[in-house]
Amino acid sequence: MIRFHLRLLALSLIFGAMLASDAFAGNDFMQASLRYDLQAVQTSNDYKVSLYNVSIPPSTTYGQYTTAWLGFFFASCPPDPAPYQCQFSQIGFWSNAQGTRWFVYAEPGVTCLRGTQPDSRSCLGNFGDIVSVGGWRIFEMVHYYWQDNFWIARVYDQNTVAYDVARINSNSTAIYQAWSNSEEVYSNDPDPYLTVQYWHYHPEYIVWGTGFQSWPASDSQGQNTIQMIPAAICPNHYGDYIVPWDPRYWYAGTGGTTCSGILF
Amino acid sequence: MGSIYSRKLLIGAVLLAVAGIILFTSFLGANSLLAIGEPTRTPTPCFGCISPKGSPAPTLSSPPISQVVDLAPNLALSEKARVIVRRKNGTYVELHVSPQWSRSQIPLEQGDTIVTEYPPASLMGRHPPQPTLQPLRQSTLPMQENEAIEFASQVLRSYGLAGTPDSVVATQTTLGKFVQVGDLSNEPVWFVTVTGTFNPGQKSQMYVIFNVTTGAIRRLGEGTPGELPRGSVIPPTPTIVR
Repeated sequence: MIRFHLRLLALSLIFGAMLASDAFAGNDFMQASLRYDLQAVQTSNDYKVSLYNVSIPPSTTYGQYTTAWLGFFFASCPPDPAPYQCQFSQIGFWSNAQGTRWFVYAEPGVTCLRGTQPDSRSCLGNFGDIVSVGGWRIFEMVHYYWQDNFWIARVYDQNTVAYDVARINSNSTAIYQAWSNSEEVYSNDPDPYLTVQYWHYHPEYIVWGTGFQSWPASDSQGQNTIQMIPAAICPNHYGDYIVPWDPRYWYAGTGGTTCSGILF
Repeated sequence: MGSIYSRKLLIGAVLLAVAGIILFTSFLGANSLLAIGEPTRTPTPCFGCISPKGSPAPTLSSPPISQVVDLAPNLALSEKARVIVRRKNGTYVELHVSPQWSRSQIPLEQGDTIVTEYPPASLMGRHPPQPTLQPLRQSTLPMQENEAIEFASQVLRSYGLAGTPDSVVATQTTLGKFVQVGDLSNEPVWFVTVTGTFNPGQKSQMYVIFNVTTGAIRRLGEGTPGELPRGSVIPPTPTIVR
């Protein structure tokens, strides 16, 4: 016991100086922004996308990981928002060298129904729970009118069995941005350009009483765009590949060479 | 005597019944779909959709932490990763560590196991920037060849194109050459390829595909449009939930 604590103390002192050094976190987004200008989409209250994780990054620290996610603003978002004002909410894959797991992050706060709850805004599945490398999973966010004060974050397993993994504490009935993104996250410069390999398939929204519909195609009023942020990550590190016969099916990650444009 | 016994029997029966009710209701509470901390199984949003059949077994795990050890005292809490360790004596310790640590650096004694790990809270939920649509060309539409060339070079500067391009070639074609989808196939486009030096000092060729009628950028990338990333295969499409 004493030896354990001495070891902890020594490690603490050794790394103390290192921790005090300046370090800058960063995010690389392989972004697909989905149009939300149509009222049928904006107030659908039920959205889903299929995601496929090809691999996990081979070596990571606790401050490095990759994600692929379906995300929304559940509130209108001004250019300089107050913290959590936009009600940014996400559900998807979270991966590091240990494996892959589902995650939910939501600024309005969450009630986790599964996995673990690191803080009031996050839920993390255990590695291998529901999701895995090498298989499609559907991620959904839905708001039922009879459950006014929360959204449900839902993950489907390989047999398309649905699991409600978290409640998002928002009573919003509309979306104000929509994304299906891949992302690299790192806590300290330089950018490690972790291996990011996710496929995205057919974002959908519901028409109640009819069923899920393909996300509307771009038109002059609203467009589904892809964008790399920062732009310089493409094409040397990250980019997209859009399946030629199905522009609602795309890869976003390492080795992609499409950097920008209209998706579908 | 008989009446005393029967009264005792009656009281006993009532007590048993009350205990039974309490046990039954607590059992219901623990297994109710409304119980806190369990997955809800909400109705499907549409007819014909598959019903959620997720296990109702409670799976939310939050081990009782008996000790928190801060191995990164110079960092704010939100900057630290957190590692939950189950000690060999059955207690749980939460370690706060630098985000620069990896799992192999966690000080474990024989019999200790890592239960779960949390990334620094500050890294979660970073807002993606608001999408900026590629700027449309300001001149008169439809787009002319020289405008497509000029605008392609201009846009590619944000992707690292340095100096004057070695060559720029514009070809008018249809999007169907690159996107084999019926309603997009006939869309008239300018396909502009730009060869030049891109940061960091690499010779490369990038392309920009413009819609001739609107000036919108349909695709921008390197190499050949629709080129699969090296070593990748397209996964079979997922089973559709209907």
